[in-house]
Amino acid sequence: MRTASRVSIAIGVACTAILLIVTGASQLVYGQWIAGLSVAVDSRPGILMVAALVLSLASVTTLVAVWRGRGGFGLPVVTLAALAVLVTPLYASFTVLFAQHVSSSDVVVSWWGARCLSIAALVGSIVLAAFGWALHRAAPEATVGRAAALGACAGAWAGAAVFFFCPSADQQHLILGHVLPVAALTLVGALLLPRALRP
Amino acid sequence: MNSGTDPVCRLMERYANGEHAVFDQLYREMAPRLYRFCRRLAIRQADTDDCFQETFLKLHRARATYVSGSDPLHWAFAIARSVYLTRSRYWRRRPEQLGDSEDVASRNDLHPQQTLTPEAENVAEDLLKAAVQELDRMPEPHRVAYILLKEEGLTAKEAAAVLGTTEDAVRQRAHRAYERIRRALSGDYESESHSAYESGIQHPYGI
Repeated sequence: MRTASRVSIAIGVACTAILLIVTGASQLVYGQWIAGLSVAVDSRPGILMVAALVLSLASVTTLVAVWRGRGGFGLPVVTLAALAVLVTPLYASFTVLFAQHVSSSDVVVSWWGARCLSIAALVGSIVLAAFGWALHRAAPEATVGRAAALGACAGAWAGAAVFFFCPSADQQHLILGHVLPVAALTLVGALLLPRALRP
Repeated sequence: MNSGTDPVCRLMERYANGEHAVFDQLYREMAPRLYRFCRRLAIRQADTDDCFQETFLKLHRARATYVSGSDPLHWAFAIARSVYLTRSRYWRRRPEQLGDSEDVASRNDLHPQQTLTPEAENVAEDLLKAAVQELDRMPEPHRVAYILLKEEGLTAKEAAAVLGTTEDAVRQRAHRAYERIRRALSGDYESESHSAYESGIQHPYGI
């Protein structure tokens, strides 16, 4: 199967998995389809704006990480590395610095975010595996940069998933349960994927 | 960048779509330049052969990842470089000392002064050896940038794509490689001229 078809399938699989996991877990824990957008929200336009930023970050990261260009080589390693480095601070600034949730008795979360960590790990693993399969043997150069960018892409989608799932306003929970997995997935991608991406 | 109308592009496209019968023709079209690239990259004959063979093997395995319309040769260069770097890392971790497989007189690591002969052909041969030695000694990024720009005739943009870096970086690396080779050649040339003068032999070019 050609790489373009694989990438399309991977995007489909990733989106379906994220949708199912977020809505399923949210319904199970909070009794709402997307609790992050409806429970303990301070400002409705504010949360929608942050949601749009988080989704844009994930989409742009995906585009940059899987884009191969006319020559089949994708973007230079500097761009890929910059993306991998910037995703975590950008995500943290969107979701922690401009947090739109308020403390509420409806929301009971652990301070170290076990649930969010599990959801982020699950979503991140699926996205990483899907895009790793899609770009299998497709990066003859800048392999580590591409792998780190794919890790950042998985991290960005995992971050988006926990953002839509979790209505917590606790800063420590946000850092440990939401931001930390983004950085961890970037690192995992950079360390594990290069072998799979090399021809 | 090829437009996709290039016969090699069309062959590669057919091969990527699973038409294995075109491999022979594709090999005939690509092998000479790819082998020369591997030769320049790996320097030693045995490494060159291994690198070339493994590149074609990987090209076959990764054929479905070929992007339609792109230049298959540039793609093959990138694969060859990846193969070379992987092999270099492997041997750096597991160094081994082998005995000489060739006559000591033809060893490449001898200094030009030691192999100096009065004949012009030998001077030229020594200069060539010095250039190859210098190419072998320089960092891989500089060497490969020099080969792609100066020998394979790629544009800076194409070479940057193959190496996954920027055009400025490629130009700078190739320039540094060029300067090193130029310095090595002028140094050898001067020392050989001096040795020839000292031994009373007239320089073949009258210098």
